[in-house]
Amino acid sequence: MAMKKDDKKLIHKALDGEANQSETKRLNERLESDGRVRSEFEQLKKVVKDTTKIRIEVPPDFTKNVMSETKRLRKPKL
Amino acid sequence: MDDSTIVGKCQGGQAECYGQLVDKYSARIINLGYAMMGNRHDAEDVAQEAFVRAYKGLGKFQKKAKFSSWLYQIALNLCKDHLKAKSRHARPTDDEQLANMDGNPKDQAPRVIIQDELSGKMREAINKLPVLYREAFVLRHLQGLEYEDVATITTVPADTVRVRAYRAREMLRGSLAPNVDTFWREKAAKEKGKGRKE
Repeated sequence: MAMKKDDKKLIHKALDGEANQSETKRLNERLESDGRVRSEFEQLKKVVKDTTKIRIEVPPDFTKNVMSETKRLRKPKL
Repeated sequence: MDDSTIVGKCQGGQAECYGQLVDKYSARIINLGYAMMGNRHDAEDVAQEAFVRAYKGLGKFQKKAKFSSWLYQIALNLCKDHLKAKSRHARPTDDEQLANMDGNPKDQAPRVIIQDELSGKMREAINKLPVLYREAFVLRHLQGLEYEDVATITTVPADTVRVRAYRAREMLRGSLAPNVDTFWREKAAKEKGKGRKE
């Protein structure tokens, strides 16, 4: 059974932090009353949250390397 | 010191101030490249090139524009060029490299901060997204930019970015949690069957 379009819209608005007060209230009601909406919302929230774990460190000499490259170039002037 | 002041100083001849901008944005630009291309070496190469290109263009940079948006734009275009070239001469992603290694991959793993197994799966799933969806998702969620800023960087209307990020989230959810859909489909089928019996 496909989820209602309205529910999907609400979920994504909330994930984007763009849901207003009445939309948030409506979503909370839907989350309480419908397990499918709740599950979808939790899954999407987790997808977004987990992406923040994808990180690599900056190599220690990165700025030094960039600056030594730029030294070979002409200075930027207006 | 804010970006515009630093840019002004660079344009006034104090080129060494540029290092402050590199320090400030290096993590963001390297991680943008990493999320877009899935390979640490490519990410570092592209980030370095982006900073050098930005430096070259600094003389013409208009201070009323946002330095960060401009830098993101340069980096993103380089990522896309790189991805196009990569489709011709493939360099494997870090996950592919790890899979091809002999011995204990943990001993040879690149300097990636993997907090759990899921972040590897997530990276793989992001790399499978169409590039336009990937850039919208990465800029919005990994870089935490506002839709208006993403729109400026990608030169499409903010609503288009919203739709792309929406689709990216749906695709990621689909590839990372396919069992949830199966669960609800089966549950609905069971309930339907019950209803018929009654």
